[in-house]
Amino acid sequence: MAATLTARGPARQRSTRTSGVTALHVLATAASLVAIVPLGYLVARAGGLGWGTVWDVLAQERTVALAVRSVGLAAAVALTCVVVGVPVAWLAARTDVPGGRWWLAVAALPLAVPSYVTAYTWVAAVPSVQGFLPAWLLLSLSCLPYVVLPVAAVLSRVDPALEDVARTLGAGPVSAFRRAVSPLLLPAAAAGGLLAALYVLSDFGAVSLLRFDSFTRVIYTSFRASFDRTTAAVLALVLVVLAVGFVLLERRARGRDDRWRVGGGVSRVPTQIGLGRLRLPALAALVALYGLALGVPAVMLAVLMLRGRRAWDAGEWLAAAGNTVLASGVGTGIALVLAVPIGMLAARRVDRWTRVVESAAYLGHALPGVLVGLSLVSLGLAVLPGLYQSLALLGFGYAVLFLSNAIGSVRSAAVQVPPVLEEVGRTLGAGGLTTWRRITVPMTAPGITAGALLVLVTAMKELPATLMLRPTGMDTLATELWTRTAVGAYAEAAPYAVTLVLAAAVPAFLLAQLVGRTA
Amino acid sequence: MSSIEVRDLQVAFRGTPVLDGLDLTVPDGAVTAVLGRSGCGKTSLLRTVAGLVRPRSGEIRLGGTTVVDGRRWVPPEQRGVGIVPQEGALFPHLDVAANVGFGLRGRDRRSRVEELLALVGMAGTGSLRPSELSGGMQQRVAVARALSRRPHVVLLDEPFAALDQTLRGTVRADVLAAIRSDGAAALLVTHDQDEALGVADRVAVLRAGRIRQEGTPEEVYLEPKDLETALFVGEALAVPGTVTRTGAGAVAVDGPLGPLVARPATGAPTAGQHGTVVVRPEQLALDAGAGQDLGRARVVDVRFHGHGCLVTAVLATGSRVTVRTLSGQVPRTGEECRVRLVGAPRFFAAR
Repeated sequence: MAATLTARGPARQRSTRTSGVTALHVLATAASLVAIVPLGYLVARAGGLGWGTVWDVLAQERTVALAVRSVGLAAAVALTCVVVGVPVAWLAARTDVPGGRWWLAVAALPLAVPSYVTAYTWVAAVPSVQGFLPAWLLLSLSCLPYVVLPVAAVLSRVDPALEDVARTLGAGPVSAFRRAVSPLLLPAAAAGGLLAALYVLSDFGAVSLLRFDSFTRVIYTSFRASFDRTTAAVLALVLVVLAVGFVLLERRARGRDDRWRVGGGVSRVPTQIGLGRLRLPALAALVALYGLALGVPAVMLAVLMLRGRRAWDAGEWLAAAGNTVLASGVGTGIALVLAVPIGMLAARRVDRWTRVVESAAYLGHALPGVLVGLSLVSLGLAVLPGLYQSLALLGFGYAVLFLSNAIGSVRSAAVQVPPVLEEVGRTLGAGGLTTWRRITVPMTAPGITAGALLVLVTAMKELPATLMLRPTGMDTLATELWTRTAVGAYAEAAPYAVTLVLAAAVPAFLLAQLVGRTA
Repeated sequence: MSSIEVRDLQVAFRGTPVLDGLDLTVPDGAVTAVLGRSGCGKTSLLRTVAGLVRPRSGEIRLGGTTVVDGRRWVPPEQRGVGIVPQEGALFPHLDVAANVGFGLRGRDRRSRVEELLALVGMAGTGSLRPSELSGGMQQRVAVARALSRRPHVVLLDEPFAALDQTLRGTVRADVLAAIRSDGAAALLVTHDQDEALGVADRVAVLRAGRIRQEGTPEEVYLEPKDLETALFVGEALAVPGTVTRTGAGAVAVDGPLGPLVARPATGAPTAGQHGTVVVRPEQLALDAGAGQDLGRARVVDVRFHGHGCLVTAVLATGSRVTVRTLSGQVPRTGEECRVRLVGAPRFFAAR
C-alpha cells in the first residue's frame, strides 16, 4: 500500500537546522536560573531546618486539617466550574440561546475582576459573610472562565461532521453528542478545572477577606504575627508541592487534547441546536449566573462608590495609583528581560535543554504570591539586606510570578516569524543583526507589547506579594483596598476597588479587540 | 429497484433556495457521481439524503422505503445510509477499530470490524489512533466505518479532494472497489470532472439547484443536453454560429471558424437561427487528412502533458482554437499549420 504513517504535530514545523549549544541557550538558562531563585531558597531553607523540625510541623493536626481544608476548597471549586462551565459553554457556543456567542464575551469578564475585589464587595454588603460556603461560591464564580472559554473553543473547533457520521451510524442526537463530541471536551474541561483548583490554592485575598483558613492565609498570618518563618516555610513547601502537582496534571490533561487533533478539519460552521421551549429558561439561567458573578459586585461597587465620595482623598489615591504603575512597570521590565531569551529559545528549538529551561521558568506560574513574598523577604533579610523592602525586590517578585505570561507571549510572537523568513532575509544580503532588526523585531514587537501590557495589568492586581515585599510606606491600589477593608472602612476602599477593576478591564478589553482583529 | 429516488426536492438555507425541484434516481449497486461547481448545492443534496438537513418539501426514498415526504421524516440514524465526509472525520478519541465499530453491537462486532478493515486494505490497524494515520489511510477507515451497518447507499462528500495527487488515484480505486464488492450503491459528490467521468458508472450534473443531465459518463461528455453542461464537463471551445442549411441530424453552420457541419443538441434548428458551436480539443487535428478543413493557423502556445499536448493556434480569421495532439506531434510556437475538424461538433441553438 502506498500510504505511509506520518507523525503530525507542531514540533515538526520548528527548525532543527542547527544543533548544539548557542548563545541563546546560555542566556535563557541564566534567565531561568534567576527565576527559580525563590523556590530554590525556600527548599534550601526548609531543608536547613532539619527533617525533625519539618516533620514536627507536618504532623501537627492543624497542618493536616489545613491541607484538607485547602484541597477541599480547591476540589469543590474545580468540580463546580466543570459542572456549571461545560453546559454554559455549550449554550453559548452551540445553541440558539438569545445572545448566542455574545455570552462568551461575558463569560470572560470575571477574569478581569480580582477575586479579592469581589470578596470585598460581598463583605461590604454583609460583613458577617465568612467561611467555606461563601468562599466556594465566590471562587467558583471567579474561576468559571477557566472552564467555559477552553470548552467553548473546542466546541466551535470540533468538526461538525463527527456528529453527522455518528447520526448515520445509528446514534440519536443526544447519543451522538455524548459519544462523538463530549469525549473531545474532556481534556479542555479537566485542564480548566485544574487551573481553577490552582487559582484557589494560590488565592490569598478572597479567602482572607472571607476569613477562611487556607494555606495562603495561615502562611501569611503566621509570618505577620510572629515572624514565625519556620512554620511558614514548611507550610509553604507543602503548598508548592500541591501547586506543582496541579500544574503537572493540568499539562497532562492539555497534552491529551493536542494528541487528539486530526487533520486540518473542514471549517464548516457547526449546526446550531434549537432549544425550543427551553430557550427562555436557558437565557434566565445565564442571566442569573452572570448577574450573580458580575452584576452584584458591580452594583455593590457603585453603591459603595457613591457612599465613599466624600471620604475620597484624591492625593492618596493618586499616590497609590502612581506607586502601582511604578512597581508593576519595574516588574514587567524585569520579566521581559528574563522572558525574551527563554521565549525565543522555546519558539525555535526543540531539544531537551530547551524544554527543561522552559519548564523551570514556568514554575513561577505554580507559585502563589504569598510564597514568592515569603521567600524573597527571607532571602532579602538573610543574603541581600540592601534589597530588603526595596522597589527592585518587589519588581523581581512580580517578574517571578508572571514570567510564564511573558514567556508565553514572547514565544507565540516568535513562532509567527518562521526561521525561513530570516533565512530569506539572509539570502537577500542582510547580516544576522540586520535581519534581526528588520524582520524579527518588527514582526514580534506587537505580540510582545501586548504580552507586556498583560503582565503589567496582572501585576497591578497582585495583593499578597505586594503586602509582603513593598517598601515601608509605599501603598498601592491593592494594599490600600486591603488595609481599608481590614478595618471595616468599606466606603473609603471603594475608589481603589473601582480603579483596580477599570485598570484590569480596560486593557483586557483592548487586548480582546486587538486579538479579535488580527485573528 | 433503486437505492435512492429523489423527487421534486426543495431545500433552502435562511430563506435562500439551494436545491430547487431536484429529481434524481440512483440505481442499485452503482457509483453515481454528482458533478457541480462548488456552492451548487452538492453537499446539501447529500446531507438531505442522509437526514442531516430537513428539506422544505419533496420526497426521498431509500431502498424502496420512503424516508421523506409531506408527512414523514425519518431521522438519520434510522435511514440506513453511510457517510464519508471530507477529510474522513474519524472520531479522534477512538482507535481505528472503535471508529469502524461505532455503529455496531453484538457478538460478531469484532469479526465484522476485521472484515471491513480487510476490505479497505487496512487489516491489522485496529489499534492505531486516527492521528497516526496518513490522509489516505484515514479515508479508507472512514469508508469501512460507513459500510459497517450495510447501508443502502454510501454518501461520499468529496472524499478524495484533500489527498495529494499521487495518492488520490490509488485510494479512490481501492475505496470504490471496496464499496462495489460490498454490494452498496454510492453517491459521490465532486467538483472534479476527471473523477466523475473516470470512476463513476453514472454522472449527474447539478447546476442551480437541479440535476441538468444524468447518464453514463460518455453520454454526458459526448452528448451534453445544454451549453452550460457542455462547457462545464471537459474542455471545450465555444464559438457563435448561424445555421445556413438543415439536414437529417446535422446542420451547416457559418461562423468565425468558417462554414462547418455540426450536430444539433436538441430539436431541429431552422435556417437563420443563431447559436453556439462547441468544439472539443480532440475534435481538431493539426495534420492533413480527412475532415473539414478550417484553413491555415499559427501556433501561439503549446502545453505539453507527456501523453499529449494542448496546442493553441490562431486561424487566419483571427479565431483562437485549442487542439489536442498526441505526444508524437509537438509543434513549436510560431509554426504554421493546417487545422482540420474531425467528427461533428455540437450545436446549441440560442434560447
